[in-house]
Amino acid sequence: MSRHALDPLHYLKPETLQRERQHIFSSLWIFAGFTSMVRERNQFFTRKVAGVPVLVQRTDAGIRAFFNECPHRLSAIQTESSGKRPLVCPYHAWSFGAEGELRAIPGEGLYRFSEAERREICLRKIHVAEIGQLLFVNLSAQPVPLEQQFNDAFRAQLEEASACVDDQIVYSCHRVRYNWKLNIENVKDLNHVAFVHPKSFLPELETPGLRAYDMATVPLAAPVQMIAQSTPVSLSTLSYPNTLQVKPRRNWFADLCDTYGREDTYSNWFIYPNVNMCSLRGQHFIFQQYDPVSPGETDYHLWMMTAKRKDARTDFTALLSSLIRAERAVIAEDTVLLERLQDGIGEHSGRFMHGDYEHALVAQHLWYRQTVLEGTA
Amino acid sequence: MIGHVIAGVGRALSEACETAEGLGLEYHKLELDSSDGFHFDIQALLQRYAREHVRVFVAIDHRGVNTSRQQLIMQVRMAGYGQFNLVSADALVCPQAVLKGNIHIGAGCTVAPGCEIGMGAWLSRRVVLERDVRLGAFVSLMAGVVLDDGVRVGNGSTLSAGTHGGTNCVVGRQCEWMLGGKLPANLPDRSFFDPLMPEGARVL
Repeated sequence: MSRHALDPLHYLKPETLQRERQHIFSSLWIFAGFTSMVRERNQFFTRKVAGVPVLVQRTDAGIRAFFNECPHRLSAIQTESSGKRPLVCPYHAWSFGAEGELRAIPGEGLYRFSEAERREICLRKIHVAEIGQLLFVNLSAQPVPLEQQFNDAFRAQLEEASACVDDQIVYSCHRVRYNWKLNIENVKDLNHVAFVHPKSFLPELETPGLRAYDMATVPLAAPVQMIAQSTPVSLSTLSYPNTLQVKPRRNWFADLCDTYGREDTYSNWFIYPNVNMCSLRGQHFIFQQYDPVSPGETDYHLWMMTAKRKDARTDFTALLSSLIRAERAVIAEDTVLLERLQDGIGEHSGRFMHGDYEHALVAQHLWYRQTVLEGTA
Repeated sequence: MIGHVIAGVGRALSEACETAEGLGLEYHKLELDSSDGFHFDIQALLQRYAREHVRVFVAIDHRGVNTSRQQLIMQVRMAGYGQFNLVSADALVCPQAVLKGNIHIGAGCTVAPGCEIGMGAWLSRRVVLERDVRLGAFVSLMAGVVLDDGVRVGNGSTLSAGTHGGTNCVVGRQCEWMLGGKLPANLPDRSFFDPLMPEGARVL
């Protein structure tokens, strides 16, 4: 009779992160950014996906993604985090075309490449997919079909909600000292809000804590049965939407935007493996992403924006600066807790004891066991 | 006889009034109303003071990347009121420095030759601007900010107490640097730094 599906040492081990890089971050579709970040020709952004440098750029062929690495000396093609410039390596000025094909090498005679060698030279492409305004990349040469990772209904919701997302975006990235999995598990666990965010987030909620869960639909001892039967879990079930009732409030900026959904709703879309997309009252949006750096370190990416502005001339700089500060204050409360949790995990650690309300988290652990650990706990 | 009105709210209003008193300036203090702390109502100003008879100084802190101060100064100007600067009697301001209106320069400040200070800028106490510093409009510099030669600060930006900007460093527009200490050489437009976000956030 176990309520434990994943050994806590998998939050610590470098070998586990190696497996995650292989089976999750190099296999699944990973959120990378927004289409608005590459609206114009040669506009680009760069980032890392689980340590892999990725470049997303709009070329004459459309939105393209590449490993941000010149085939000559492996120098980064784009060195800034965002900007607008053609695909030219700053090191020796090799230039590349719309699909990453080699255009020109200054002083080509120096290299003495054969015609066959020259034909092979190109930027390595990465698969890229759009769901509404959201851009996903897949580092695998043979990506899983997008619909295998996100079912039709979920993709339709992402498309609908992301259409309401504004293109004036405030962004921050900070490093936290805990495993990336703790964060996606934390945001899927609404029961923590009452205890960790009693003053910052809880007052917004109409349905705090366990009352947020409809336990009538959850079979008794669901985690126990799932673990005992090693229930097969499909990838698409790990990404799902959730809504909570919040106290209705119309913020001053709502009238300046085309808002999404209802004023009394807090919507989440958990995008497996590492994104929590939220909409508070349909008036502003939050995108959190937990990108692994090492087993005990995570880059916490945060994007925030209002619902789409009715008039592009409306400048929300001041609003965005205050929205991101408020969100970072809530995140700081989680960070204290999760860093302590991570710090306490070790060989001595016991086993998790998941309650029935955590059945989705157990399903996630079971999928992880089946896929990443290939059957071992 | 032209009168002087200092209109604003909170600590900035008190600080401006103190500076005016230090100058021996006769003034009327007008506390403004706001429903949200960001947008202010000038009805009281319009009702009490005819624009032909007074000049107005707007005294609001750096709230909303200084857009509150900007909006209010613009409203006051649009209503036809003239403005004035408030330069503390204890400040040393080079006569060649250019002050572009509604500027507060507090006690102990030093402004060197070649400096240009944009409209609505707020220099608190002991701020030092070395040669050729350019401050955009609606900038806020808190106590003890020191900017070396040639520093540029964009419109609407705020530097917190004790910040030091090295020679020729550039702060973009609508930035908030609330960490004190040494400024980076280049702060991109609309980037925000504070103890909660020491690595910064920025509008993309």
